[in-house]
Formats: sequence, structure tokens, C-alpha cells
Amino acid sequence: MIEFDKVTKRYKGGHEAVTDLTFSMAKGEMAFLTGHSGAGKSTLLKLLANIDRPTSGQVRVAGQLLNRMSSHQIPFYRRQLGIVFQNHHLLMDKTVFDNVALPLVIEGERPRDIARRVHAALDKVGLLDKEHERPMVLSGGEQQRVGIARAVVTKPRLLLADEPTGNLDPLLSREIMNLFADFNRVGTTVLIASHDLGLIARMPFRVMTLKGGQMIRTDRTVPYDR
Amino acid sequence: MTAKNKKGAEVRQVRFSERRDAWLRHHQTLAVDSLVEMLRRPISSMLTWMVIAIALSLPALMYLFLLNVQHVVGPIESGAQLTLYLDGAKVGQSGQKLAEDLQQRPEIAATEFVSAAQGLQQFREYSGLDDVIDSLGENPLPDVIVVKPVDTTAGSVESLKIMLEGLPEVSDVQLDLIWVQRINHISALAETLVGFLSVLFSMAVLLVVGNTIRLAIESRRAEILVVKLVGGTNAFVRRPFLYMGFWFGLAGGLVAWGLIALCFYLLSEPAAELLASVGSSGELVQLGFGGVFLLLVTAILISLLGTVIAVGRHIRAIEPS
Repeated sequence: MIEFDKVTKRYKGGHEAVTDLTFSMAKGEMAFLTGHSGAGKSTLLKLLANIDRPTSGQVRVAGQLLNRMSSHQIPFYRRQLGIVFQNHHLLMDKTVFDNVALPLVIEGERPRDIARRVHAALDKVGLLDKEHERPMVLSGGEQQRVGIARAVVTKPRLLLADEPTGNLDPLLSREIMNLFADFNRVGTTVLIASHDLGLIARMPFRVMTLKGGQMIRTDRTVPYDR
Repeated sequence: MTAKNKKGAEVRQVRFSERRDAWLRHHQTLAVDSLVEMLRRPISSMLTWMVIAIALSLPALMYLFLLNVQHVVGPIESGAQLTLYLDGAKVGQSGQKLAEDLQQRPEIAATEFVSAAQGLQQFREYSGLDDVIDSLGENPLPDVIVVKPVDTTAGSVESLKIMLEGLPEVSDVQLDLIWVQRINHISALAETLVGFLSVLFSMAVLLVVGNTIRLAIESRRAEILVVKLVGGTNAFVRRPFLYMGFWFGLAGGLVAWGLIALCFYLLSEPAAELLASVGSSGELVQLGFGGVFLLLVTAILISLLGTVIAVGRHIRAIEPS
């Protein structure tokens, strides 16, 4: 599903965020991406979402080479992804329903189908009773779950999450991670950037550790050199 | 071809018609949403409408003023006439006869003989210079024939003038067209000026709408970022703003129409008096159905153009990073 081949990303000013990075993820796999802040986690996710382009090397997702994608193709590529952001990126003046419906509206689904699929997604994250609320009145955990519902409502093949439990208490974090595991169980490829090592350790998935823009370990143990 | 291929084609067709339906539905929703959005901020929206309306109604009013001037001057021009000053020594008493002879010509509509004595009498009445006229002793005025041509276009009046100058009894022919020509020149000048000002005011509308849309885009920057992150195309992001531009244009055009109607209402009485005093029986030239239509279409087009420019420049610049 994901293939990085000798990928280097150098930002203007010369800072090299990832260096000569090579790794891959199989279809249907779930993995964690960890490392100190500044290790290149965000850059890796940005490369996958085609927000940034590699300076050298190749990034492939589901067989598509992201490097050469035209700006016209990028929106259509992004529709194949579900992305969960650390700061939710919700529209505060729209209802929960409208927030979750947005990707479907963009795809031009019929209102009947939109309602059905939004309800299914909200049901999955346990927020069906909040569909008419605005995100403002929801708790941090609830907002994050709205963000997850929006990411999965299109049934994406690849689900990316950037610190999805960043500001949540351990119990809520655990719930959110289990939610991702549920999506993985039905075939979605899931990649989660997180530094919640305690939590990651208790889950049976591959852990990839970045340091200084390089993959230093990729295994199932918790690799944290304090 | 195989049955499999055929089925593939059908699936594609269904998807296309579904996409088109979705597209139409999206446009419908946006058209209503952007109107509601505009009406939800009545004060700031109204300011924009007023600026558009004022910028459009000024050149429109100037143009209407021009039309009305031409409307009033027009009938006078069509009454263009030639004044023949007769040579008293050659004509003698036969001035009246000459006037009747000229009347027979096909290119002349009417003639009027004004004898020297009548002319002096008229001058006495108009000028009130009785003492001066009395002191002259002898009547200095010649006999005069006023000729009204059938065809009042400049060329044929000119050739008629040349023909009349050739008559032995006529010492001089004066064409009473000069001031009409002057008004025509002035109105041509004014037309150019109105045209130029219309372009300037249109540019003002363009800039005002462009700026309003730019601010709207700025205020929804976060939303645009999210839409782009979940796969919205530039066209998808552009659409609500284009509708906004359309509504601003339409609303501005309607307010401009209202301003022009108000102006006509205020002017109707003094204008009627003025028209009566110059002997014109006509009414003021109004905007009319075609004029209103043109005003609204112009307002919408200029507003849309301003929006397209603003949207093209600013939406592409908002990209997730």
C-alpha cells in the first residue's frame, strides 16, 4: 500500500526533515510511527497526503507515484485517503453532521446516501446523538472522534492519523486506538503517528521509529531510547 | 464485443448522469446558501451593494441625461430652416410671388414671406428698442423668405442652400443649423466622456467586489484548507464565492435601479416644466425594460468578473502546509 524508496525531503533553508528513507507497508496492515518531535513524523505524513513533495526518491501509495502527480490530480488522490489531524481541523460553524458529510459532498454523493453513511460513521464513533451539535460544544475526545468519523466516512483504503490522542486522557486514548484497530480489522490500512509509547506497547502492531529523519527501528517492541 | 464490455459501458453512463445530478444539486444548494450567507450580514452586504449601485447609477444617469438632451434637441433639429435675405432692388414687390414659386418645388416643405415692414414690426416687439428704431427713419431690414426643407439631413439642406444662393433675387442665405450642430458636437463629446466614466466606474465595481470576495475568502481560510485536505478541488472551493459575486452584482444592480428611479421621481416635475418651456411635447426618456435588463446584466457580469479575478488569485494560494 505504501512504498518509500530512498526518500529525502529538504525544506527551504536547508533543513533535512527525512533522509534517504526506505520502508513499506502492506495492504491491510496497521502500524505506528513514533519518535521525538522533529524526527520527521509529520513530514512523512505530509508526503503521504501529497501536501509536501520529496526532494528526491519516490513515494508510492496504492501503486500511484505521488512525485509526478499534477495539482489537478491531487484532490482526487486525497479522496482515497482518510486523514485524522491532531488539531481536528473541524469547521466550527457547521454541525457535526455537516462536518462528517463534507468529503461525501465533495465527491457528489446523493443526499440520501450521504445521510446514511454519515449516520453509520457517527454510530461507529459513538456520536450519533450529537449530529446536530456544533463541534465547539463537544469535548476534546468527542471532537477527535468527529474527525475520525469524517476520515472514515468515505471508506478509504488508507487511514492516516497524526497524534490522534495528543490531548486526551489515557482511557479516551485507548478507546480511540481501539477504534482505529476496528477499522483495520475490516481491511483498512492504518498508519498512526504517535508518541504515546505506553499505549502503543500494549497494541499488537508494528512500530516504526524515526530519529533525525531516518528509520532507526521497525519492529513490534517499544523502541524508545531515553 | 463481449457482454462484459457492454456492461462496463453502462456502468460508466450511470455514473456520469449521477455525477451530473450531484453537480446540479451542489449548484442549487450553493446558490441558496450563498444568498442566505449574504443576507445574514445585512449591514456589510448593504455597504457593498450601495457602492456597486452608486458606481453603476452615476454613468447610467449621465447616459440618460444625454439621451434626454438629444431627445429635446432632436425635434428642433428636424425643424431646420433656411432664411433667404432678398435683394430689395431686384425683387421689388414680387417677394410674396417668389415665396409661392419656391413652395412648388418638391424639396421644399413650406415657405413664409416676411416683408421688411413685418420684420421691423417683429423686431420692435421683441427688442423693445422703439426709440432707436424710430430714429433710423428708413427701414434697414430686407425682405425675408423662411424656407423649410422636406429633407432635413445636413447634406440635402446644404445642397438646397447652394441652389437658393444661385437665385438672382437672393442676396444671402443663412442656415439656422449652427447652434444645433454645436449641441450635436457637445453631445458627441459628452457621449465620449460618459463612455470613459462608465469604464472607470465599472473598474471601481470590479475592485470593490474583488476586495469583498478577497475578505470573504480570507475569513474562510480555515474552511478552505479543510476542504482541500479532504479532496476538494479548486473548482469546488471557488463555486460558493462565484455565487456570492453573482448575488452581489444582482443586488447592486437592483439598488442602482432603485436609485435611478428615485432620481427620475425627483426630477419629473422640474423636467416637465423645462420641456414645456422649450415647447417639447415629449416626456422624459426613462430607463425602460431593456435598460433595466441591461443594467442588471452589466452589474452581474462586472461583479462576476471581479470575483473571478479575486478567486483565481487567492484560492490557489491557500494550500495546506
